[in-house]
Amino acid sequence: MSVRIGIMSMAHMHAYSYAGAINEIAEAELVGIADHDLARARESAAQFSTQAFASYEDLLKADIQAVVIGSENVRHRELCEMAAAAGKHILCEKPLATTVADAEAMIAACRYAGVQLMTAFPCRFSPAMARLKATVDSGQAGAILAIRGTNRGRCPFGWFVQKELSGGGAVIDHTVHVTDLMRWITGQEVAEVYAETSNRMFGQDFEDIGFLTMAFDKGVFATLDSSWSRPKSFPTWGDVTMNVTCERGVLTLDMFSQNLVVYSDRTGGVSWVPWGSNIDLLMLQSFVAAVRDGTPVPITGEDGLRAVEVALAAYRSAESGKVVAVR
Amino acid sequence: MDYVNIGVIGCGNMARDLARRCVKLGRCRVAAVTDPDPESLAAAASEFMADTAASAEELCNRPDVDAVIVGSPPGAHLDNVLAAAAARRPIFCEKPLGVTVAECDQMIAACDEAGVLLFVGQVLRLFPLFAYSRSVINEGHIGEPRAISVIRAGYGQAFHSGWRAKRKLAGGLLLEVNVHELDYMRFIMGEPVRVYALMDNIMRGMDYEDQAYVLLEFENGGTGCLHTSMSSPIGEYRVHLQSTKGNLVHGGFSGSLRYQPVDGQVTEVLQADISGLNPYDRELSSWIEAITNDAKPLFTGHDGRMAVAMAECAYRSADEKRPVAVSEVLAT
Ligand SMILES: NC(=O)c1ccc[n+]([C@@H]2O[C@H](COP(=O)([O-])OP(=O)(O)OC[C@H]3O[C@@H](n4cnc5c(N)ncnc54)[C@H](O)[C@@H]3O)[C@@H](O)[C@H]2O)c1
Repeated sequence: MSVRIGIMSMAHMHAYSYAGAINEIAEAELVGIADHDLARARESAAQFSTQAFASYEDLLKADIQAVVIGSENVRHRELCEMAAAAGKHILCEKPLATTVADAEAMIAACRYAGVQLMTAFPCRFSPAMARLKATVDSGQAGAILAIRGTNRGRCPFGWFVQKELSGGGAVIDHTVHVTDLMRWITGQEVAEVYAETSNRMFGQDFEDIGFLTMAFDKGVFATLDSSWSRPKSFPTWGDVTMNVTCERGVLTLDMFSQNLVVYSDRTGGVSWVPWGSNIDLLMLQSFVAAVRDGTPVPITGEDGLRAVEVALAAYRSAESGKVVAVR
Repeated sequence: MDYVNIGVIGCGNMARDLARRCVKLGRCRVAAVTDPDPESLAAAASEFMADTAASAEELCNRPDVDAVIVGSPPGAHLDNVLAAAAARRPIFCEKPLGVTVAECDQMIAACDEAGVLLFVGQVLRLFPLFAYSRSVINEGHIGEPRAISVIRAGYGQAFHSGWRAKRKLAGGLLLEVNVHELDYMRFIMGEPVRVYALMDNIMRGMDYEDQAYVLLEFENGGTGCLHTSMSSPIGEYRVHLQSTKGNLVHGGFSGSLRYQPVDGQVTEVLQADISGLNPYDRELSSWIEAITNDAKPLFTGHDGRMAVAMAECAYRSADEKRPVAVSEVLAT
């Protein structure tokens, strides 16, 4: 029997990738899309050959087992609570929420309803990342000492730069992915953060530069560049890289290096077109399997919360100019 | 069927609240009501603008009654459930399903034979901290549950008069009140195998126990302890769950839930911070979904019967001053 899924809001561009992924999975069915923006619901439903629902309530009343939440960050909580109350399992776009209270409320609502909450961290599904993790776990390189990470991108603008919808700029958008990867491979929690932020790329009222130094609770330390610092003309949206220094070796990861370089007069430039694995598809496959089999989702709401806590700590640090405790 | 037309048998506080909720959920209307007490009957008929029926049989056989809520005192559940089963109407029966395992068996057999749903209102499992505790275990944060202690203490004047004061209709404290806790303990620990109990009637407000300690052994090797009291002006509700990799405590209907793995930090959630569907709305939605869409019901006659069996073991244990195997009361 296939797993029937609805999408709540297409505000985030990743929702389009997730919709495409659901359509590629044989044992999943995209039952429909609802959105604050009715026209967007209709257009995206047509694009993905599914049905548009007039409201989130209508979608939740349909015969679905799970939802994907792709709304603006501040709306995650409201949609998550609605879906949980309706007994639907949830895959929520990152960042899980824009405040700790919201994230905790989402986790609580799902636990109370007995539904699973998964945070969308697709980078964990990258085969390169899986290889890095396996190498670390094998112990051949010894214990991790320090990590240098980057998640630099082009500025997405739109609601991403409206704090009342996004909860922040580059830091809340980009800190969470690599923080999650670092937690995952070290098995440690971030204890303290020092961060500097600025708006020197675009000079507007959101931070486009974010640079974090993190101390983990069992000794690892790390830096992370989470800036929207790639120019419009950059040949792809951005990067995820890690340089993991271990006792007996160094592992380096460049997650999106499987590209064709395309020179096109029509698009007016150079672009890197990925040919590698589709990590969104791999993530959706794991969510679908967990819902179908009733097994625990691989990335939980708490994982989402831990990453949000680090991003929020970075803001507190940048504001105060001091090293701050995450919790 | 578009709307589920409900008949209500025993229109007291609980059944009226349930019926009100069904209507509010937007998928039911109350077609008919019946109650031996003329005042309750008139109040329910006027509130729901429903017809009155002279008996459970008459109510269940009305063509405009699709499904039945039984909210009579526990000692009167049997006759009412049998009447609904005979008329092939799906049933929502308040807890405890019956006052003996034999009664439960009779009801389950009648419903099975008629092919109708028997849903039992073991709603405690759905209260926020109770439901949450199950999810924490399911997610594997604290390992496998191995020991559970529940304290429920209070003092209610309501128990000193009317049907609640009489064992014949109330069944006893373990049945009228604590089938909830016994069901929750089973929900967490799995099937019970043996029960030992000590009881007392301290204040003599009812003709049955107002104080009991119940010790339980479970199939998974774990143990449980229920302390219930209806003689405690200072009330208390407390759940303490010990598992293989940590523990969990919560305050029942209020306060907070905390859990901690041995190698991790404590996590606390306040009941006030948990949002979700009201537990009664949730059980009723499940009942309605099961009737209209054949959905799997949240709890069935079997769950009701097992909770009654745990209580019956405790009574037998207290009488005979020995541990009683659950299989002894289940064997018919
Ligand atoms: N799940 C819960 O949280 C909860 C809470 C309260 C009560 N209950 C259960 O609900 C049931 C009723 O409790 P209540 O508080 O509503 O009591 P109540 O006294 O308010 O109502 C009982 C009603 O049943 C009627 N009645 C008596 N004998 C009857 C018979 N033979 N046939 C039909 N009706 C009869 C009475 O006249 C009265 O109107 C009990 O089983 C009780 O355990 C459950």
